[in-house]
Amino acid sequence: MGRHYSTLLKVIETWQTKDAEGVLAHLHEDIIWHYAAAAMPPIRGKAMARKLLGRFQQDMHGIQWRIFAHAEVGDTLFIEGVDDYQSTDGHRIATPYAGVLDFRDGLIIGWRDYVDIGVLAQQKTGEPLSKQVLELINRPTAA
Amino acid sequence: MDRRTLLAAGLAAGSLAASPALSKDKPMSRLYPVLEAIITAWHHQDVEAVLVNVTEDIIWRNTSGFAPAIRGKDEMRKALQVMAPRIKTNNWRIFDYAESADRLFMEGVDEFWTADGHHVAIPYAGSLVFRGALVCEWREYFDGRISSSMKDGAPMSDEIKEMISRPVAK
Repeated sequence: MGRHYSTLLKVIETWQTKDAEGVLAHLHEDIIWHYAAAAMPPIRGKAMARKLLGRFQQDMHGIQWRIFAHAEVGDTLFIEGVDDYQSTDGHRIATPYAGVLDFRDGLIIGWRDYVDIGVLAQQKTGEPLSKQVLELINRPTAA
Repeated sequence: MDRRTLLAAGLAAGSLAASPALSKDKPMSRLYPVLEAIITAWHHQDVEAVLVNVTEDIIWRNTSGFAPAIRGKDEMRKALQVMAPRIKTNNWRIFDYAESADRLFMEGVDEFWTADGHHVAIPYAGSLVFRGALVCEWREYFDGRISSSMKDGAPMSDEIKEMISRPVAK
């Protein structure tokens, strides 16, 4: 297992319990976080990351974030996975995504998650997961 | 650890630095040249030159799960033949990539100018799964709303300009 993937697994494990400070411990002070790359402006800096995680904490329940595949080269980690959780109003949200994480000194300094906001919007209205989403997310979790 | 990382580690340790062929900035890659060939083919909108690099049973998921997958080379050919005439010119490029066994991860931008004069730039990340030297699975993740709005003439946002102003991977 690559060292950066190992760090991401710690972030995931921490976030399953909604421990925002535990996640923040793995982020660089100067992080630029594209949590919906190109669709939304990035947040810049750890203080803003803390605010974003606070927002996520309020609307994410039963978090089943998982990774299907990954590779790393140098200080960059590529991942393919799903953000899978229950929204506050009881809908299952499962957005397949690809992410790219840049590390500096073992901390995440660049984080770009590429996701279709249209898929998210459909699911937030209570639509069931589509066949193609299920195909993307019903894959074995990476070791 | 993939081949690029292994070679990078070797270079850092000085064990490979004596070899001129291996002392370039980027180590050799097995899968990335196939993607480069596909990109070059698509720059020329040569559908058949793209298809020569994929398996007959390719599964192409080009919408992040928004639309059903395109299955098989014949269906991919039809999709590309619909896309090609709508694009006047394109500058699809990759900013970074990593390989692991039979999988190539990529981050790039699908940038093109439509036949009706709109400039579209869709930052994306994705992965290609290979069987031998051919792509058998192709998954791309991006926000489809960006694609739709820019095809309708929306201007490029500052964050997209920033994202796509990175150097192209070698």
